Amino acid sequence: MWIYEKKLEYPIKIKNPNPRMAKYIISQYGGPDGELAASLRYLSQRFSMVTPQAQATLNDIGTEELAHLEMIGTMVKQLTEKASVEELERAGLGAYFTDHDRAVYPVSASGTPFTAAYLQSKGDPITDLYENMAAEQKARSTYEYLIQLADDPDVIDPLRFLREREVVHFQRFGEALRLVQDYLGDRKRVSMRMPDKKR
Amino acid sequence: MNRDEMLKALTAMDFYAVDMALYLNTHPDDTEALARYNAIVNEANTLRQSYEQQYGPLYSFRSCSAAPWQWINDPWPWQAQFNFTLGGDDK
Amino acid sequence: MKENVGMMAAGGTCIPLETPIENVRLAHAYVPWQLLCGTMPPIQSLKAGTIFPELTGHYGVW
Repeated sequence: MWIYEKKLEYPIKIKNPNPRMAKYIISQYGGPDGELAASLRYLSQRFSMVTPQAQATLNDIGTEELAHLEMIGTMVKQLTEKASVEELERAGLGAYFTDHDRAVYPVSASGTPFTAAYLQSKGDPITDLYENMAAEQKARSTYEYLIQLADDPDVIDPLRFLREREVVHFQRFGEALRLVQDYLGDRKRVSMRMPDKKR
Repeated sequence: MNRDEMLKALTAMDFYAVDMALYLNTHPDDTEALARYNAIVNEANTLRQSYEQQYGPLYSFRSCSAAPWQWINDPWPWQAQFNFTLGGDDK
Repeated sequence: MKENVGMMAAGGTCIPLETPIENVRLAHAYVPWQLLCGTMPPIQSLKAGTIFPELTGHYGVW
């Protein structure tokens, strides 16, 4: 189960409103390569994963992604809370404001609402680990694009932290893949399960 | 230590534990890593106890509270005033 | 499994990964196994985004 600790994994203290950046950063909340997709992906896959090491990896990285989701939501809130409606509209958030005011809602940078189509939980442990490695690289690239778009150190520092976490997660999923490949290879199985007829 | 300094130290130690725990998940037999993890967890928990005593509970249904129920108090972590300034990269 | 200690070369330099990767198969991908050498202190680690110096500086520096 989950325990919530009342502090952020990394501090977010943004002094200057910037609704333009909020519009882009929200993609890591509800977008295709964002933290919600990551948490749901890993926390769903863990049920069908093999080997204790890989199960723990999915469980714990999935949990850390929820902490990152919180950071992104916090950034969007702090970037918009002191902006006027005119500033929000000028930054391209008029349509978003219409439906959400300054609330945080899971959408991508282009306004597409979150969908489970952004993630996969395929069941085949090797397939799932490759999915996760790709997801970490996509997230890393997205943070790099956001860092290019940003110019405020209060915004850039947390983005750089989140970017580095993706690299570390990639390494861990890569190690989990090695362990799962060895485990499944040792069992000398051609396929994961017997076809229904033979059970 | 004031609140910001305590929160900064605790955030950093807890982060060390998180990163080391992820390493241990794939390297469960690494006794050196485990020793470092346990040391940091102990240190963090001592500081956590101090922090909670002075500034209130960090957990609901795990931490004790003075009256009235402190858990609900501002600031919450998503508010700027909750957070300390970390500073840039160490070079 | 692999030795979970960073390899010490003659000069006492710790190498934080396995080299080379052995027993590879076609149609499989391999990420090198990380081995513990040293970690950064907590506040420095928080700023860097990891406790492991060998996991920084990859894919371009930002």
